[in-house]
Amino acid sequence: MKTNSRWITVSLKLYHCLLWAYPRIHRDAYGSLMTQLFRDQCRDAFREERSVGLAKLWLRLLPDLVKTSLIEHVVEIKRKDMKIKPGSAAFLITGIVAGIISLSLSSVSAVCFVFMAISALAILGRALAEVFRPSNQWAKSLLGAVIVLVVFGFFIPAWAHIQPVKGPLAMAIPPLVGGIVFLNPIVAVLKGVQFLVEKPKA
Amino acid sequence: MTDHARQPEDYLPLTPAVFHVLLSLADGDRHGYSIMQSVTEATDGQVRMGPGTLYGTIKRLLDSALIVESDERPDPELDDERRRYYGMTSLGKRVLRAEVER
Repeated sequence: MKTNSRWITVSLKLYHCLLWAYPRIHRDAYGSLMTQLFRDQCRDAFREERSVGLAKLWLRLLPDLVKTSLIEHVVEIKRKDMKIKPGSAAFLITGIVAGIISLSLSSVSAVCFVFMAISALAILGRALAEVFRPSNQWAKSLLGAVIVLVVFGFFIPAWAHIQPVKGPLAMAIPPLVGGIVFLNPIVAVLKGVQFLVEKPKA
Repeated sequence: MTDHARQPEDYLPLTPAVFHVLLSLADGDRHGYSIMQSVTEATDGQVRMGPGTLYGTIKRLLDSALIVESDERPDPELDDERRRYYGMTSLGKRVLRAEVER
């Protein structure tokens, strides 16, 4: 019985942490109800198939959590009528397009290198543009950062494989581009912290 | 937004999640866990709603005034006080009827 409660307790604690993926307003309104529902589901799953049931529940739950948390963030952004900064959006789009073109031109190393440099600068520019975004829009920054990471998570290994330039520069480029890309989530997290610090003063 | 502001057809087509939740409330007020169980039973386990989908759907149904939080508690002695019950509004019933007829 102790094992039973231990697995369910661990699952509940983990789920409670994962609820942070949802916007604060949604969490405040439905977090406790969602946890309660998950607790009931855990008990049912454990009663039916023990730990296998719990594993199956988690396999169903994780895609649901990713999908619905993203939906709720989009809903929240629409509700707050957050405007996308034109400069930031332009940087992001330029970076993504240049990244895609650089892959399609992989046989032409010099051209590929130019596009790669443009992509990296564009993503750097986007991160810098985010610095000037109001801190209460940190969730939007984070969403943008996730898009950058997902898109360029595919491109960076490809860039490393293509090696458009030779020598020491070739070795320096992937970590450099990676660092620039990771600036986006770092900025988003900093804006989030800034928002949390500023909020009590408001 | 009142029931008179929009016609039931304006809400169609319903998403599968919305349709299943409304269908489960057709019999009477239910709480979240009961809605989830009802949907699973009604679909022979084909549709298993997670907490995120269920409460996201409930939130949108409340915002659209298709359901309301109910004060009535079917069996207070057997029930957990923390549970919230939901029931369909007249607009919700008309929307469900319109979807079924569609």
